[in-house]
Amino acid sequence: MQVYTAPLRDMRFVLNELHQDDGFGGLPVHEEFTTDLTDAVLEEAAKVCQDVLLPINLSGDAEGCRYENGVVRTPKGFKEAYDQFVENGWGGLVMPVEYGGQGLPEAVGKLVEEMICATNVSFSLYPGLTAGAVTALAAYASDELKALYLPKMISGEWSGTMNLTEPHCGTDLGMLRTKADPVGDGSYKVTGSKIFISAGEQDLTSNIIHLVLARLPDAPKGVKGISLFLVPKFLPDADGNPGARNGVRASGIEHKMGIKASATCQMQFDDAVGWLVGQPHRGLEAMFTMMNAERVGVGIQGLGIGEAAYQSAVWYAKDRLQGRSLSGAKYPDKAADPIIVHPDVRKNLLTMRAYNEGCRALGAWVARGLDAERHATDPEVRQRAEDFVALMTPVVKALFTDLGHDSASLAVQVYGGHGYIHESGVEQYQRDARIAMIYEGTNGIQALDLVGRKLGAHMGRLLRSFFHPVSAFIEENKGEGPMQKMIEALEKAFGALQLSTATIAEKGLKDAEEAGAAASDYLRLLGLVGMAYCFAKSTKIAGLQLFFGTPDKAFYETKIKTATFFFEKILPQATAHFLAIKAGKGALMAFAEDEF
Amino acid sequence: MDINIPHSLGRVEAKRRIEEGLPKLAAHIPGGGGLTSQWQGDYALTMEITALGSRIPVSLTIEEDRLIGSLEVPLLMKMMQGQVAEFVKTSAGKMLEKA
Repeated sequence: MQVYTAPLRDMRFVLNELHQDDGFGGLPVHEEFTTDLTDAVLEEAAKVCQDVLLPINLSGDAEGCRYENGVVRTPKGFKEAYDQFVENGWGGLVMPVEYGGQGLPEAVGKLVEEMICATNVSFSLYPGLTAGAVTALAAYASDELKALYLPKMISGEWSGTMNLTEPHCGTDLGMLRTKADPVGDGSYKVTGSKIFISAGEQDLTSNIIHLVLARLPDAPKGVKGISLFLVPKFLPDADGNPGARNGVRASGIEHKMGIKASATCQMQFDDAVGWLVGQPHRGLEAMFTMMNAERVGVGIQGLGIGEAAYQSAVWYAKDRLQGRSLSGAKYPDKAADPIIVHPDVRKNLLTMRAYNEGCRALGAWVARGLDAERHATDPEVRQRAEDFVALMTPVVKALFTDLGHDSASLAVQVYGGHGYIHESGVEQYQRDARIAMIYEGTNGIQALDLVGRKLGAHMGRLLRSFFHPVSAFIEENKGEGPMQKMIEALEKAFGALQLSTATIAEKGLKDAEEAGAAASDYLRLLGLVGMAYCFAKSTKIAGLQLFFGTPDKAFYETKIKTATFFFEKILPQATAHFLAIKAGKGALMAFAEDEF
Repeated sequence: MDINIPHSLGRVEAKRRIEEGLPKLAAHIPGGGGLTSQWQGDYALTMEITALGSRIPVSLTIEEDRLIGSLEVPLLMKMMQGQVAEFVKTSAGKMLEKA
């Protein structure tokens, strides 16, 4: 059964307590968003997600989207849910105030996103893509385009999409063929085919604003010849309302493994009228503004699904009676004990729980960085936040989605044979989670981005935005005390990360394949250290709360138990990744192609 | 954060009771914590509470009918400054109660 209650207590912990010393807080622009106000926002979001989105998750998966003659129908209940969602302003929660958004911090917005993804990840893609398109337009579009499109996109009346992939090119966008010819009046005629376009066509909004990568006639070859265009489904009339139909249509939808209620479309552009966004030939830069925002969002999808999978598995493990506890019957009056008494079931449940709490804590830190890079008044803080977000974006995307999928798989395992049946609800989590490891740049690409672009950037400056706080925390908390075992383990894992960084820097400079071979292990190692740092800090805060007396003793005691589980049962994986990095590329590249 | 603890003992008696109470309080700090104190004049006291690697400086001045002072929590403890103040108030109150 799909069970979900928003983990509001933990969300308030990561939002209000865990990262207060990171230097990213106290932003004047967010002064009005007091703890009381953000609490209220989170509580209301929880209600919408639990009461409106969750009930149409399983049915939406079973029904899927339908395509008929260029029209795409979303499953039953999606239109009503979307209308309610935008009517209450959830689409514009963190969007710019000047265009009608509410301007809440990303630190709050990402928690709301987690709830949306936990209850209905297919639904999340419709407002999610719009949010990414708004980010790109706000940063690169002309004032005229912004004034015409942003208010309606932010209100949710119109939606947004991103059109990159073509049948012959996905990761390698340099091969892109869609073309854009100037008309002479400032507009362009866009022609080409795109595939895998989320929300490319749907029945939720009165207009769809496509952001399309295409080549100008004089474009240089490769990625340096790609420009970005805004192509609306309906051309706005003189009053700014949807007018004539533009030359863009869905030619079909994909029949996918998961996220079946999200319309993934094949799009055909035939002399569609569009407008340039940003500079000619620099479209990839503009699109990557959207893509980076999306990557953090995709990471949150993994976390949301992971949390829903955990809660659904806990419900089942308490309900399902099978066998007896190894230490003797716990419920002798019943036919059998609930399976939650078994150590291995507990290990599965706690692994999911630790992944979720670790990712939520790390994600909250990155979200605070997103706010600080945009709004901090001190340029040094803005720079540090920008460095931190750039470094952690591939980590959030790949780590959270890998662990979200692992959690979904573990939930199926807890359910046993019943988990393999659609009606149980948990196999949907695993299918829905799988795509997040692939889209917006596969997790392998994220790892290459981390080691290839981020590690060496500005002589390692990005890395210092993470290394410095971790190292300072270890120094500050070393010595005698109740946390010593934890601090020693963190120090050991951090040491492995530092050595791995040096290894990659040394070998990777001479041989790029060495860096490529180490990339995914390195990303996971960095993620494990990041989560360990957050769990160690959580333990410290929990210990202090218990020391000074807290009315919420149960929460803090449980937080310490979860952190202890993470350190004893999960963090040891850091050593394995370190050894794999140290081993180098030899075992991978020794095979000739015909030996595969 | 400011602290204000009323009493009706007069300055001299209040100081005597605090002087007597401080070693007992330090001995009863929960596990993992500590307390050091130093008189900065006849009626001005500085203390430092330590717990799980965090240090909280507290300054108190004894007046005829109250203790006034302040404490400063590290940023990481921002959300629990009310609890820390309560901890200081309760501890000081207990010392003042004991004749």
